[in-house]
Amino acid sequence: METLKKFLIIAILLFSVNIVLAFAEDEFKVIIDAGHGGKDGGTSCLGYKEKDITLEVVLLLQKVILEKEQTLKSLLTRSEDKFVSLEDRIVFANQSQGNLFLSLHVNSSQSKKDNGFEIYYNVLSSDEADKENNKENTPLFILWDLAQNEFLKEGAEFADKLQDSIETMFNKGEDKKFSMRNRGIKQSSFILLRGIRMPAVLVEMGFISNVSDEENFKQKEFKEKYVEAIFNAILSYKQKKIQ
Amino acid sequence: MKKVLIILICVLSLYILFKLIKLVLYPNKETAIQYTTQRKSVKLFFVNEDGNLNNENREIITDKTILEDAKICMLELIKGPQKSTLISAIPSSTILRELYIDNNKCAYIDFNKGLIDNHPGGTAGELNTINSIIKTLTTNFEQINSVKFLIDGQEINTISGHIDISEPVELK
Repeated sequence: METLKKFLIIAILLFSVNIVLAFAEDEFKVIIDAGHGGKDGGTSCLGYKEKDITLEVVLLLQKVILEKEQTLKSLLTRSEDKFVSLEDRIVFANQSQGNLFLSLHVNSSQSKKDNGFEIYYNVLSSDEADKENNKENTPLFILWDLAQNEFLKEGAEFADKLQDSIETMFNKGEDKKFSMRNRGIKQSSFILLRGIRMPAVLVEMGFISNVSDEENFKQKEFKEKYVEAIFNAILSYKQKKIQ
Repeated sequence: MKKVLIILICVLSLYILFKLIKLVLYPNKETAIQYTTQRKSVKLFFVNEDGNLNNENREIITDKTILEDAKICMLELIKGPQKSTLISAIPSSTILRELYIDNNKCAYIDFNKGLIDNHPGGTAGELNTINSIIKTLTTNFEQINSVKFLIDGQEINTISGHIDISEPVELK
């Protein structure tokens, strides 16, 4: 009888551990990065700063994730107005072992007419391609630079989801109150993205140097719609990955 | 009358003597300038109203070497456009400290901190700055195909926190 009792306790324990593990496996970590912060204000227009806009959007996004999707876990590189170096953002993301990295920014151009949103993922430079061919003889710090190379395809997939979702939110349907120019998906060599060991994308949400885009940023409804569009894209990407 | 004539001859002699001494002391200077100085049209790249790069032709007086010509070209780029429809992608407080070209056709450009301290930021604005410099140099000088950016003689990773310029940059 005593043996049976012990056996039952062990069985229950194992079952519980299994459930916890299954739940943990289902968890999808998104590292969300609010561009700039603290002494680095980013771009600005008449005192209205990029660092404040990105933080507000990121905090809203985290709130929506917490409320709507338990299997998504959001981790923020900063949740207040403080300076975090690019190196520290990379280290935080990699140590957190996220499934996805999303960096949010506000754009600026010398031309006041430049407007709209654009989505970036990193480029594989020919130099880096050469280094990748010689991985065995490459010092560790250079390998760190190569981290993003393995995830470019997935980064492109997520960029695609984001573009569709933002385009649908602002430019399709009846309500075109915040209609925005879609500048497309682009590749460039970002100092932040290159060290990230997971699919990574950077969104330039609009131009603070453009009157219309700047007006949009000042409205909470616009930022809430942006958050909804980003949330939908993350969900869609996650569902495709766990299929 | 005779006195005036003597004074005139003396003045003329002194002038000729002065010219002869100058020619003996600095034999090649004038001839070298006359030989190498000529006008050349270069293309400088600025941002147009739509946010793209457009070129503006400008005449520069070329110097003895490609290096000096490249420096003149950069100084003209920093001065900004003459057309009112174009906008400079380089902050006006930027100063060119030095420029040299290595054997791999890479131009090392050393600016003061004005380039980063007064940069308006944004990925688009940063790309405009980088590309206007690279395009101006590579379009006008076939001896240059990449650019390595320095600030006060030191290597930098980025101008305003986005694009990686820790390595020499080429136009893709």
